[in-house]
Amino acid sequence: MELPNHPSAASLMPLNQRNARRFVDSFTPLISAQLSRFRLPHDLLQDAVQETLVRCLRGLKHFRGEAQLSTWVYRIAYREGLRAQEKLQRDRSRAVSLSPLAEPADAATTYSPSFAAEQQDEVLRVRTAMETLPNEQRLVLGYHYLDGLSVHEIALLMSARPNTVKSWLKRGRDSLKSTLAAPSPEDSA
Amino acid sequence: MKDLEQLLRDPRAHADAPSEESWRAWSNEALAKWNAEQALARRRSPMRLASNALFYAAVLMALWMLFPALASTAEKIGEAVGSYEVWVGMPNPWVLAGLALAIAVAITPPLRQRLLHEIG
Repeated sequence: MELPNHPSAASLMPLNQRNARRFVDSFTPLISAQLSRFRLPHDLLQDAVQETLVRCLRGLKHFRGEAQLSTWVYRIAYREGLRAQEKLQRDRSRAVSLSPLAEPADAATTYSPSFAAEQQDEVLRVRTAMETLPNEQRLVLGYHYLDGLSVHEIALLMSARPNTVKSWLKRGRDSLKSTLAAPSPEDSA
Repeated sequence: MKDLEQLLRDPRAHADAPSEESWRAWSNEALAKWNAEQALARRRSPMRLASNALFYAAVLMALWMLFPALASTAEKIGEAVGSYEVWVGMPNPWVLAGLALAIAVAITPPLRQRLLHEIG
């Protein structure tokens, strides 16, 4: 995956403060956009972005260039996203055991009737339908169509077989098509 | 309805990326954290060097004592199997070697970790 306007690993050496700043300024938008697709609350998203950046900075001097720097960064961010999701699930299961009515803030925003009523645009209908997809399907659709990663790159990133990635992509698309083919609440009203 | 693949290429079809203000603030915090780690690592390095030197010196001392001890033991066993005096006189190099190993393995790594923890 060739990303424009990203420094190479060699150009970031020696990793002094100036080069660390260059790395961070260059990759933070990419990392935060990727991690935002993990459906994390704001505080966890912030933690995951920061942890990814710190892990990348720690590991940069050991980066040997076997893969593209951006692929390496994607992979670290992906793992951090999974870690944050696991933490979220643990916290939610604890919260649910205390209060069964507790609902995460982001989900409430996504599925509220007022938000659904605004879904006139096709793109926004896709966005709402995306929220109902399983994690892997939603993530691979983002990696493939938004970030432009190939099936092979996604497989490498998610430690999955290419055929599994293809299957997630197909199931995700099929699921979106069937959701979008169903009449919207506005149409039935 | 547009082509689904075309729709999926629209960033609005995916979760909103954080604002520039947000990600800049996060990246500044991450950078500050990393800088603090670097400063700490620089402060730790002389102590780390000293404790590593102590550890490897103890290991070398143990090996240096252990090999002659093994050789002399084999020799003494060959000379006088069953002689009580030989067996009584023999453990000294073993005890010393064992002591040095104990220092190397059991004492210096925890000492090193404790030192690093305390200065951290």
